[in-house]
Amino acid sequence: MIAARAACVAASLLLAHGGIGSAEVRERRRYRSPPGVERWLAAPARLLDLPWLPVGRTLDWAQSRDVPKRVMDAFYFNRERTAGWFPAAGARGAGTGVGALVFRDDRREDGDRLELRATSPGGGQYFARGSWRRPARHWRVGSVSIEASKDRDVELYVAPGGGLGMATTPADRRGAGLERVALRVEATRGAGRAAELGVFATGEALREIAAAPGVSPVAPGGPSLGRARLAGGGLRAALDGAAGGARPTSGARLSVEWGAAAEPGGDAALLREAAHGSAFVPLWAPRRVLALRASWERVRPAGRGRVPAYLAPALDAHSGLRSYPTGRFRNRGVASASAEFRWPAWSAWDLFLFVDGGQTVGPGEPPAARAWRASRGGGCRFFAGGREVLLVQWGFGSEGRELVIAVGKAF
Amino acid sequence: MIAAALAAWLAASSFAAGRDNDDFDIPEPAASTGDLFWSDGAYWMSVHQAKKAFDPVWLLRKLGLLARPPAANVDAQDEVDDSTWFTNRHARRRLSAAELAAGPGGEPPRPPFSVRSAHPAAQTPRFVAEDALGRRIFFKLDALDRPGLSTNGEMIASRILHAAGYHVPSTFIVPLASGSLRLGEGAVVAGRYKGQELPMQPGHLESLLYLAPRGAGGGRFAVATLGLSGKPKGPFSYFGVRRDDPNDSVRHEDRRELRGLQLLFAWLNNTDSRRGNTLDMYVEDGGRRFLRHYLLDFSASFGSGNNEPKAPEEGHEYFFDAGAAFVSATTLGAWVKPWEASRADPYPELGPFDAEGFEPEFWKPSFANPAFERAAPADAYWAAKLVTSFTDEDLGAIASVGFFPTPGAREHLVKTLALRRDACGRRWLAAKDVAPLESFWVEDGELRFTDLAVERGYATTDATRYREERRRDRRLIRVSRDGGRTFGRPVSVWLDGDRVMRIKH
Repeated sequence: MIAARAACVAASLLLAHGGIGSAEVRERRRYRSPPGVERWLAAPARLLDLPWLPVGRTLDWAQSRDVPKRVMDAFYFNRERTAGWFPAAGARGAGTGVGALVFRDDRREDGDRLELRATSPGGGQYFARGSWRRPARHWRVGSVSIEASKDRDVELYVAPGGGLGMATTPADRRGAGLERVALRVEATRGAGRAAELGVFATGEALREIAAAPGVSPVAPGGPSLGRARLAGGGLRAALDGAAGGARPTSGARLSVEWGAAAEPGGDAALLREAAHGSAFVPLWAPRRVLALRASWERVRPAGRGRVPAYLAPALDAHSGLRSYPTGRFRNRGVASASAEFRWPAWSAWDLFLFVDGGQTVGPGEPPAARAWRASRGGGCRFFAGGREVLLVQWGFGSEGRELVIAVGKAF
Repeated sequence: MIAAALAAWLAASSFAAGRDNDDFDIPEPAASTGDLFWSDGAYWMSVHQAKKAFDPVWLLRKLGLLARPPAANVDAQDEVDDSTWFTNRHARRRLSAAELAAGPGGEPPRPPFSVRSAHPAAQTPRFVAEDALGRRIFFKLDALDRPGLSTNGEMIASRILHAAGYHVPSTFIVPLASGSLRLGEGAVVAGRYKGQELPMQPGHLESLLYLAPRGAGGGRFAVATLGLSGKPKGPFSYFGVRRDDPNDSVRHEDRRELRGLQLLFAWLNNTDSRRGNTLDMYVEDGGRRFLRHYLLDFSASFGSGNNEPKAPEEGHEYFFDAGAAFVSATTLGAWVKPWEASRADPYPELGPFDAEGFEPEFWKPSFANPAFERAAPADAYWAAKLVTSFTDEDLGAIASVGFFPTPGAREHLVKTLALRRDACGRRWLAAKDVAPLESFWVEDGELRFTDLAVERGYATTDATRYREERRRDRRLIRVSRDGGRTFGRPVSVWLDGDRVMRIKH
């Protein structure tokens, strides 16, 4: 009897929950979603799922392979120990090539940073950089950097007669080839959390090489890059009183630098001075900021020394005048100012509108009042991990438009 | 014999009152894909939102011409049965203070811990180890400058959700000493990229300890989660059904316990309600093998944004909220969102967490959730019953397990949870969307009931009036809180003589 009851219980359990197929499970389920006219009515909307399928698969693949992290690592955006090999595109579409990036970054913010980077965009060109930096606490070597490059299309706008700077027009664009090796060793000391002092020594060797095919060369008699081996040094001071890190909301930053370099046994000798300041003014609401920037940079011959044209500072989309192409205005001195209104669109995305103004100063320049150029525009910055990761900016000026997409750039 | 078999079948059958029969024995499902939140998040916040414009049913609902579809897994009492998704606990049978504080229970992790894998570079550093009992333990570390920020979410929010009825893992605060961590056999440390693993060295253990914050006594600690029993089979989606689970017959966006989770998460400010923070476990219980569904990872609760304070947008906007971004972009920042004002953050272990301006129906998780979007007033009401079942004393008992080095932090948390609870109660127990009437019975020919809003203090009897309408097959009871001037939506009650057969809010 007991065995029979046990068999009945077992049979009932089997019937109730076990040993039955999926279809029967579904049939016996107490609750089921009702068949819905609603789902049929929503069917046309589901067509949007079709183009999403490859996008979703791509996102899944990208996440599973850490693709963005690998890409961002190629632009110094990393916080971990790693090494990697990454493809690199040519700087101006001269060709694509490959790059290698080996870097180490202790996870602690006050750790050493070592970066080695080499890219070869093709056409015989290359760029390589190695740098080591440690946070400044006491007077000691704080950074060493070595940079080498071979570029066969260095932009230089040279007016007929050899003038540079604001007197040039877009049609005056010329190109040259330059091979360069530079070394900089700097000893730094932190003065509080916001200030830093540095003294540096530099060495540089550069020579003009053949420009790339199709590039308009500098006319004979015009400024040339020449050849120079320079050794020099200087002083640097920086003050960072801005709050908010990569998205400053108040405060100011200031950096000044003075340096000198000369060519042992040669005719190149120059003095260099630069000052950059930025201020961030909080406006009527959180994260609405008016960012102001002013820059001054000048190189001048020391005594009767020659200043290689390549070392003259430039005013362009990457340095203070955002609607003008790379290297557009270059002369002994550059002054620029910017005002930028910033506001957040969402948590990781700031929008901005800007006006820039600037001019170069030096031989062959028109009167200052007529030299000033302006640009205006706007853009957005994307942030991740508290850092600016992507800048997209569109500038408009008297000579056209300039779109800049940059990674890891901050103002 | 036949009668015995029938009785046994009835006893074994999940058609017993209060129990769903979603635990049939099923073949072992494949492990589904893991935490692919990019495609998930991007889809639900872009394509899914765009589809609404082409969905006539959604448009009709938006215009108020069509009601939200009712949940598909409610019983005749308009309640949720115990199931592999949910177990009625505190709201049905009050748990003691000790039970509330214990949560899912289990023995705390016992050192020494043999570390098997570590991910020190993750946003929340973590490692997996086996304890002295051979159990798999998942450890997470708070940020060094914010000890307790993630831990309190894991410890307290998980216990609240467990008491509410959800399946969650057990969590403990575990002291870490240099002698308590050992290098497990074959231990690995994550490389920079997914899938990269390097052999773990003793130095990695030291660096793990270095990453652990210090507790009140100066010793380091971590929050430990006990591994769940069974085989992990990947997360569950808040949409659709799992194809390889025959027990999964109710679309997830139609499950009341998932829809109602929105209110609980709003209460706890757990903004990380995405698919990746869920887990299906293939378990064996009562001789059957089936999937049980768990919620995981509560470190984004309260004011925590996973080891850093929550951004102002969290709880108010999706991670990418096209509407808010569009308005902000086109107004050139002139529109200042109310939540952009600076927030007080006096307690590092809690982050910015308060009840000021909290409106539960406007709360948003960081990722759009299809089940949340589909919640009907009855689902929110059901969840409000869970939320308001916690008294201040209950919250104090649960908060006692947290880590609060700052004086006043624990009290602030309890007070804030109480205020937010009351906001949920006022919104969903005392508003017109749902008549908060329960426990119907017939006495002396009259239908009687309990008014939860009055019972729990969200309404007074002075201005409360009830109106009954009799239809052919049911009675409709409406409630007024303004002395009878206006009445809200009714609760429907089906009777058979003196027996209450069905209730629908």
